[in-house]
Amino acid sequence: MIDQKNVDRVIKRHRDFWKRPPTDRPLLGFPFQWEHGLGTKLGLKKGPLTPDMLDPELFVTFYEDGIKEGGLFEGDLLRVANCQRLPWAESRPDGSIRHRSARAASIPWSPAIMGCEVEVSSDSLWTKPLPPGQAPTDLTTLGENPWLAKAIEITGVLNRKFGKTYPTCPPDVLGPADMLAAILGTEQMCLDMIDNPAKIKSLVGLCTDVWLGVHEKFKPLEIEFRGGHCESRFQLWAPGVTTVTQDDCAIFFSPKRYDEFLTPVNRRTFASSPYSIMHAHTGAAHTFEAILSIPELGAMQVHLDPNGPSVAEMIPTLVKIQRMGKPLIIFKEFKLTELETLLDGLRPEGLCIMAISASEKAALEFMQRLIEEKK
Amino acid sequence: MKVLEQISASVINGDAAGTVQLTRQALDAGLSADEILNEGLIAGLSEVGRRMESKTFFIPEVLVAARAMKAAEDVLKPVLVSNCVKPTGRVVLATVEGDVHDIGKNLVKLMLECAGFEVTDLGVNVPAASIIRAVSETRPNIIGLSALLTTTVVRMKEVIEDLKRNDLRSQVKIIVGGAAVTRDYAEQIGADAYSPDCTDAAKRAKELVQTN
Repeated sequence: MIDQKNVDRVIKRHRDFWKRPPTDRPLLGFPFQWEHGLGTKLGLKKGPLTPDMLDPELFVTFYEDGIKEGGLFEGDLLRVANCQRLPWAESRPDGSIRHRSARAASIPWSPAIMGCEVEVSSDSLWTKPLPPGQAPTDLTTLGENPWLAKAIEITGVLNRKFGKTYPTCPPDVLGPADMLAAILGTEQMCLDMIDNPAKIKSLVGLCTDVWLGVHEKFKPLEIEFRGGHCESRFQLWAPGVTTVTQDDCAIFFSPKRYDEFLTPVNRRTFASSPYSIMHAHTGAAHTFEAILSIPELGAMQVHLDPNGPSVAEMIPTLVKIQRMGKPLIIFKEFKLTELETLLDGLRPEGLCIMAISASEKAALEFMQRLIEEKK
Repeated sequence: MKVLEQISASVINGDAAGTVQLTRQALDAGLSADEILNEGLIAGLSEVGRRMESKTFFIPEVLVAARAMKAAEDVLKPVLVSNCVKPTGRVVLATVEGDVHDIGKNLVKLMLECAGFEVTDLGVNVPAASIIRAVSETRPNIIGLSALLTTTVVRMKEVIEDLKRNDLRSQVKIIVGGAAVTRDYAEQIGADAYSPDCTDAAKRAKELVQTN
């Protein structure tokens, strides 16, 4: 059974994350570990993945066992039952089974919904651009989409199983820009930006319509937890429904093109729910100003890329986000010194640090040190 | 404006038809294919690389410039072949198994070709065994490996281990790059060079060939 006192404490921290009152420390989470050889562990053969291959019971078992073993928390973050990450069962030396998952096993729901074929490889799930002549899914065909139907089915099963006790939510739907890149392929998208900007504008508009349409279908599946809702990506609770927009391919857009093609559609996605988070990478830092200029944006999440600027180099940009009054989520595989740089440079109010950690032990030591330093 | 400068400007503007027309004009005027390639096309693409480094150009501009250059190269190729221009070196390029990201690798290929390398592009999601086979068959000076995902970057190490097992490691230099790769990681797995972007990759490749 979950520790109700801890749940209250964590929910308060999450509420404070959004409201940003003075606080002793940021939210700190250790969301998952990176795993390799996913295809083998998933028991899936290399090749196409279709929605009928996804068994809802696999997700139920994963969360049942995961919560039983690891509890409801990953640091300050909540374990939110959802069908975003594909779970697998792992045999332990003693013969018992451990259920695990990893970010790289993230199911590409929105490209799949748009009509892209999903492939399983040894290390990841990925999608192919639409073949020439195949029209992407639009609002007229969304209702009978098999991938959307599967996402709704699995989320429904998870809601029925856990909805009264643990947080649940529907899966991630990326964002219009990444949906566009998925259906065209990044190279073609880049060429079309110059050769046929009207096509880009029209397609990204269609992707936005589908993004909003999918969230509309997900609305009845948003189960309340402690007077609010959780989202799957960053495992954050908020007083209302939170949507996450991802445009990893923003790196291909100049600031001018970002403003032209993506700012208007991001405004529509941010405005569609009471709370919103934009997922961005340091490689696309040239687009941050455009993103932050959208008043409807709720919070900004910055992924500090391994080969990008150092934490110290990123501090001025991160401070700017905080000064603009936006809650900030930072994601990185931190060294302890980098974490210290971050904590010295940023205010803890409205700050959430998601640290990828090599082991559970390292994560706990990290957390302990942070708490002791703040005493 | 002289025709070579016009060719450069045309590449920078990503004007494929214009670049082809100017290249033909330059050949007709008696300029050598080497001159057109180095002082026109490569000069233009080098400027594109500089503008990308200074963030005034982005990937779409690089891709259309590359397309213009490629179109003009097709015009020059028969002349260059008949002049027997020796390549700077041979490179086998691949995005490692499990990873299907190719835009970075394609840009590296382009910059290497501009630098005079003969490139065998194995594509994306390439198993270590296919890379070993290509090395045995084409005897390159360099292998370039790309990975965008943290989960697939480990495949680079597998390739290096397989090269050792097949007694091929000492015969080839290895450059690694991609969003998930760091200098530290490159050193850790025993690569010969790490490159953060496509223009740097071509510079590193030239250095490796010269020191070999």
